[in-house]
Amino acid sequence: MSATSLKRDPSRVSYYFDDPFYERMVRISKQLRAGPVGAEVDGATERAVARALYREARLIDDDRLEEWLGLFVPECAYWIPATLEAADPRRQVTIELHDRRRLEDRVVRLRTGTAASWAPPIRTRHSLSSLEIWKGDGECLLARANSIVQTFVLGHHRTLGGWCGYALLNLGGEWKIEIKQINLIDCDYGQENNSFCL
Amino acid sequence: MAPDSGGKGRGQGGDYDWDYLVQAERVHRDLYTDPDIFALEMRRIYGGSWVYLGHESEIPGPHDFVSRRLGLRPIVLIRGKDGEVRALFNRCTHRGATICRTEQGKAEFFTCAYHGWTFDSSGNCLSVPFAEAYGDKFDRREKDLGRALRVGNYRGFVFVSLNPAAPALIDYLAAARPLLDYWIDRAPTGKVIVRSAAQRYIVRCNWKLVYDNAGDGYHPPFSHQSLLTIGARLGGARDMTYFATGHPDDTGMYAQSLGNGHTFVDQRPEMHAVSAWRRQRLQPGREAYEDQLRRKIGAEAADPLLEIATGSGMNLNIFPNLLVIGNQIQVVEPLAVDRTQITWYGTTLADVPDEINTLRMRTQEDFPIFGEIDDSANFEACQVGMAVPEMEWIDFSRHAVTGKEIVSAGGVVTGPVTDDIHMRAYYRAWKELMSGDLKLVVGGGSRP
Repeated sequence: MSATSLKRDPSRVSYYFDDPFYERMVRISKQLRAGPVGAEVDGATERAVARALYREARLIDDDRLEEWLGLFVPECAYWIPATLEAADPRRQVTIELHDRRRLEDRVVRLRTGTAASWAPPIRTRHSLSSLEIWKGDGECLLARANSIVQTFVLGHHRTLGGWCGYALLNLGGEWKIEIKQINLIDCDYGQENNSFCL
Repeated sequence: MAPDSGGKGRGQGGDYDWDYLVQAERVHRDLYTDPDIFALEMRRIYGGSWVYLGHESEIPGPHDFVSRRLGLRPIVLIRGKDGEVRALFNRCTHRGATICRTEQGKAEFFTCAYHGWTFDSSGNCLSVPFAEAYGDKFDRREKDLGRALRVGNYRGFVFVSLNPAAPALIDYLAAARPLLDYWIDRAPTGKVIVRSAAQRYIVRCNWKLVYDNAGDGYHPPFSHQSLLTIGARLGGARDMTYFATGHPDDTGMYAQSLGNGHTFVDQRPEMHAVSAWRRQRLQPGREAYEDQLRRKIGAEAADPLLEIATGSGMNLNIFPNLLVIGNQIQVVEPLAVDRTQITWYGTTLADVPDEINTLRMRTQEDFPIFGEIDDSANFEACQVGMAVPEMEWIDFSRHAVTGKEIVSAGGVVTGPVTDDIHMRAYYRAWKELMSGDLKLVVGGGSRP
């Protein structure tokens, strides 16, 4: 990697997480909330996106988080709003909102072996349903699905319910996630140990 | 229910032997596990002291309200038509149902969903359907909602007490007051706004395990290793690494007892020694907004503003439930003897460039996600371990006998940063409230 591109490497520096990017997040959030209104996608695309999203969930559950990071475009966002109507995160704290660098922090933290919240690791299983895929602005595809995450650790079961919204971009023939927004039905109430990826 | 200590902590007639349970350098584990002690705490600690309920910026206009708890008592904190902030008991004076079942909003009236009794935003009972059946002497004014008679507001921080004998709020805050002033005055015009949502966590532990930790300068190099590791992974000395580079007591940091159970851990001597912005963990958008701000207002003018985008470096603990930490207002809410909610309210500042508040949102999220989560796991582990009834004691004797504490004017005591002064100090206030004479009083409505 050249010196210039290293300077802009989103794993190391966060220049892309700027006002235009936030504005894009807010716009896409509204489109995801509204549901499919744009053009439908063809069957092959629909199958490819479904495959990408199921794989994304599976890599989390199988603890293949380094590979999971590779399913996101370099300039991505992972976003768990703290309110039902996801507001502009420039004026609200969220349950989590990560750029590429802090998303990598999140994975590295679980690998340190010194995180009490991950000892033992939390077992998870994601279920996605009611998958809808449609065309967004430009080359972007939008998708949303209901999501149930069953978790277990130290004899303690939890079920997290909600829906996920995704903005996807095609990179070299593969659908990658630009924005993943996780909307928990109890986002404005107390969460327990959410160290796992949602 | 018999206490697990086999009765040692409980005296004749079911009273507790507080001198046995709360000692100078240790407390009994029953304080964390006994549901009866918890029930008593919810009345005496969360009734007898001044308890933080909310910030006035959360309810800026007439009839704006938020739902809160005073211990286990459901409360509607509401601004009346007259502009006054009141703490109304969210309990219909008829059969006890909550009259407000949403977390926040604006309401001129509350109508109980059960039998239709209606109250205004000052708590006055306005109507009782078919009231003739209560007889001629029925006076609906006697059915006003219950209300806290003492509501104190210190620079926007609203506290409530049910104890007529509690000191004035300003005196209760004691030496915590100038530190709270410092925290508020990090905003250029002294205006902190609390309307930026909140991160809420449920932890399966007694509320005091959260409180114990709030003034604990001993745990960071151990409990927060995972956070320190990710902080260091891209180079540079980042947030809190000063706890782990040597003996924390050899740093400029210190712990203080401020009076009335309030305490302080000061990280500023390390965190803000040169520039907290320079050493801040790498938060989303850091480089983008630093560049944008420097272009907008000039490189030099941006420097002091970037400093207030970082955490305050303060852990200011106002007994029993308000933890002013970093840039957040953290509130401890007991739910059951072994269940606690921790709420971190996000804050913005008035009269700063937008870039600063944007950076502050991402900064404020960081510690709860990467730090408090490990703390919480340890609190839960303590609660599990405390199930051993034969092992009675919780220790807080660090620096109790090393002679390193310095007493200064106003009763402030300063010790090394790993001193257990926090627990020793707040348990003195706790014991006084739990064992002393206490008469709690509730008012009705806003009418004289």
